[in-house]
Amino acid sequence: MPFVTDDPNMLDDWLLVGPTAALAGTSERQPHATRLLGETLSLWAAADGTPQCRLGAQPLAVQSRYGYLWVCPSGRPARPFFEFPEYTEPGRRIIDCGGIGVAVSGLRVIENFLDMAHFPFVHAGYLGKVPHTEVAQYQVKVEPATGEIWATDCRFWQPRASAAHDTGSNVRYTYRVMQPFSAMLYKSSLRPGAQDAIGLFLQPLDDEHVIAHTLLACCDDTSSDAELIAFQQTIFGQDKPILENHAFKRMPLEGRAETPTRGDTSSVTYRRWLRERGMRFGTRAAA
Amino acid sequence: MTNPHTSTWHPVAPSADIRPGANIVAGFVEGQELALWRSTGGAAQAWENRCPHRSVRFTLGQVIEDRLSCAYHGWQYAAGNGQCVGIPAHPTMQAPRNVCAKVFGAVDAAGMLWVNLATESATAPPSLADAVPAGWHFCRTLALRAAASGVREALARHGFAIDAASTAWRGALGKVKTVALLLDAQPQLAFVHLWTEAVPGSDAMRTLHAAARSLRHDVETRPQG
Repeated sequence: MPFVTDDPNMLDDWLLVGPTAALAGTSERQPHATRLLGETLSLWAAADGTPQCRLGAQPLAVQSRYGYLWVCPSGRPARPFFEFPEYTEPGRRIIDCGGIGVAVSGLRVIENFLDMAHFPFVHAGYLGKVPHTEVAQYQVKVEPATGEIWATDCRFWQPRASAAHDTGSNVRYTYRVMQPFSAMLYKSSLRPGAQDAIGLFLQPLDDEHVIAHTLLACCDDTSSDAELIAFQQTIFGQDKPILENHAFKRMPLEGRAETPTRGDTSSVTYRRWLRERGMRFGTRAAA
Repeated sequence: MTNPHTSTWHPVAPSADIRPGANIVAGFVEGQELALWRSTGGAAQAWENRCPHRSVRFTLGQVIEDRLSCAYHGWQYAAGNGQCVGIPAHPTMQAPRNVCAKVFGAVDAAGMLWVNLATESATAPPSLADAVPAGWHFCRTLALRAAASGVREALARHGFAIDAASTAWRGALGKVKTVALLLDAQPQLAFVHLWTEAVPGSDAMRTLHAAARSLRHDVETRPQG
């Protein structure tokens, strides 16, 4: 394989290569081009609509799930595809908020997504506000059946938790990591008893570059699509300059290069989870 | 070390560029990236430009009195020793002693901020004060895409001579008396801080600016080796 990595954690998994909608109007003669692991792939829809993928002359395994195209570089996925039941749940709006390029290891982007402590500083006035800075204890576990990380019982005070909120509220979160480059969160919505689901799916361009795709499966009945997308892009636009200013673009999984604290349980679990599966792609070797 | 050698003190920026309790400036010395700032009291700080928590650059942060606050999670670090003194996610918890910014020696002398990577001491040799004659004016900092060795050769070609005690290069550019303070920033990046007896706004100052651009062209276009 000519890819930029030989890490089986990447080659033997389903990797996102963009929205399925990008195949509109394509054919084998006029394919859509995109980047994955240092290579340029050709993607198109066959006459019956089935997605097709090639790297040079080599066909690659590809499928459409949850509105996105996913490629398994080796053709031998190590795990079944993760479940996302909210995607087809009646009453939810599904909104692709677009892809935003970030010049950093995707592992940093997922770790940031799992982190509440940065809300009052990076998302001041939206997802947090000084002096409401405390991260209360929450629970993190790895589900034996799926191998997914789940963080539960997370709570944080937010001045404006979503496009639909106009006042502050105590917001409950559940976080979930399905793949090294895929995570979801569930948070309180304005519809009683229902939680918005937000997916963050990263397209790995190389060890230090991703395209971050955000998908909403939300219970908002009032905001327009444009308002929901604008809100997500505002939030991500606040994260991007922080993410691109890590002195080490790749994430250290071992050693004492970085120091976690008590509220970093999700981050610590994510790093251990990556270490235990021998993750090399996007990581920084111990000094 | 009671009398550190002058050559280990690097001129990183004009002192006036870093205001007490205000801005944070990025600096470079021999490949080391720095966050330069001052407490409200004015004491110069030169830290590794990286928060020990998640490695985000300190230069994105803000100065709060005599502390630097990281932009990512608001962790606060004390001027002087770099010790973490506050983690907002756990307001009642005392920050662990092992969380500490990496601190380098920083002093003000002759209108410049000088940094020493080999010491945390804020005591510099008295000879640094003689690097720029009293009453001279700052002209500009020249950024050069070249190794520091190439800049030294160019200064020598232009008739400059180094003063061993202060490491200042003394000479003239465009016949205007000039002191050049050379900073080895990165393998292929050097800075030259130019000071002169010419008065700001004068014809001599304009001549020096033009001669400085000419010096940069000379350095950057000359074949290496």
